[in-house]
Amino acid sequence: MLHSKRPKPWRLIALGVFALIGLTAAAAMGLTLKDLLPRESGARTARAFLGAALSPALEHTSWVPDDAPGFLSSILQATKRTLLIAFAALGLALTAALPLALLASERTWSGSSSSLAKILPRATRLLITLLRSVHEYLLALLFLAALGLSPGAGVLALALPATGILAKVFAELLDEVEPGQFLALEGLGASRPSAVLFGTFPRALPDLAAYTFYRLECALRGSFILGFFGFPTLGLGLRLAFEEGDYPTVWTHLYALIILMVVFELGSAAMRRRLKA
Amino acid sequence: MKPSPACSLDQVSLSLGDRTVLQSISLEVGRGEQVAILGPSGAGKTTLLRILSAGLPPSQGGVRVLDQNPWELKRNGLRSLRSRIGFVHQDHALVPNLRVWQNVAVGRLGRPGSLGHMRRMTLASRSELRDLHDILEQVGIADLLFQRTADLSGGEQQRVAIARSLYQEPALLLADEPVASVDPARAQQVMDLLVGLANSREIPLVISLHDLELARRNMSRLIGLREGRVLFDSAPKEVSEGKIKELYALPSQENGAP
Repeated sequence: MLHSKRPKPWRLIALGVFALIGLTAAAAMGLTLKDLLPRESGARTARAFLGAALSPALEHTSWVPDDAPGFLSSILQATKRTLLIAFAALGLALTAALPLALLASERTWSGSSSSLAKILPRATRLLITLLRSVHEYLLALLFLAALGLSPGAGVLALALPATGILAKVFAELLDEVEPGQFLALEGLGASRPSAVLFGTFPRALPDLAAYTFYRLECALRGSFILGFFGFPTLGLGLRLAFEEGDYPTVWTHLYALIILMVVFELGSAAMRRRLKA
Repeated sequence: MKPSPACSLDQVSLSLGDRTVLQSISLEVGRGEQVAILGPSGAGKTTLLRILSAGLPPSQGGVRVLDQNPWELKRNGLRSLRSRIGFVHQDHALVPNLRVWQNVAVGRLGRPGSLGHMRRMTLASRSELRDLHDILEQVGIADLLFQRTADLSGGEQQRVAIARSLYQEPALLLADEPVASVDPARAQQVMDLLVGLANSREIPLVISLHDLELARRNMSRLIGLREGRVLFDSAPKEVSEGKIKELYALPSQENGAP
């Protein structure tokens, strides 16, 4: 094992190759450093945008009907819808990902030579790859066409890729747990699925939960962006305000997202501590 | 008629890769026996126990455990056989982030009924909890029922592991170095516990041990294992000092040519 501590030259070489590929790609597009900075008109827009950061809108900046809800309460409504879509999507994804992960885990099938043990984990992994292969916003466009502008379309668009990535990572986390307890449970006659469920799964649970929280964060951001496609989440208000150059209102939406993420991060950190303890 | 043995090996050999771990071992463990397996590290004690527990098929030779050849059984038959064999692992093999009662309840996962297991492992009924409590009482840690297993001391975890095996209601109890990690006073306590439980429930007991004196005092039969072969197999009184010396002598090739 000692020689594994020696520095590995191929790592440096690989890093160099990646850097070279990046520079070549930039050169192929004729990209120079100047292109990465905004031009005169762009700089003006950027200044106007950043200048509004300290004065977010607190009421409607354009005309609304008299019976329309107040500005802040409409922001609150959009926040609520953003949250609901994210939670529904992740709840769905979690429910589907757990059994898929158990089926895809090497551990579940270790030592079995039945033909089911050959086919089922591979088929499950293929399904997981398929679920992950299409980006959520592409799916959003698809479901928008198929289901119309319903919450269900947004939830499905976020849930399908999340199912794939959760199942993939869950299966990997399960397989990383050392097999002692699994083998002991198998040794007292437990079936492989129950040995994984009660011997391996509890040990992986803190990591599974931490990763789920991270995906929930992703789902929240995803739900926000769904607004760009017309779903009534925070992203919709942001896009409309941005198109009108109404930067104060844009900032209100951004702050709502930031507050949401911070509150969420604090909550999930507390939850993780409880699980680890 | 002589009752059939709890387990028997007939000319059993085991090779892992090109290493021979066990070499033509034949032995029988009777229904009321308490057997210690002695020998230096690497002699094959753990491997022998794993073969007796129907956990590892031999490369050659015949194995019978509780009147069955485990390696002729179908998957469900093997599971049902294993569910009647208690095995106390050297490292306890408990799930650290489950509660103590859950780790004991794990003992019945070998019985049929997956949905029942799921229910019992998450929401044990009042009478099931009472059973679990009673088992823990027999190993002296009933007050730890609802503790998180990882918070227990090594000695307490070992008792949980013993309780898990008892909850199986085993017909054969095996223990791999159960006193390897406890001090001499506690070691005797653990031996008293295991031998007492085996006696009161009439379960044959096979334990691998490092401590010769402990084995002599507590067990009815000693089997000396060296380099995968049985060196002696007799009652404690009949094992001579010469045999003991031979058992623990350093391997010959270490004194010989480089």
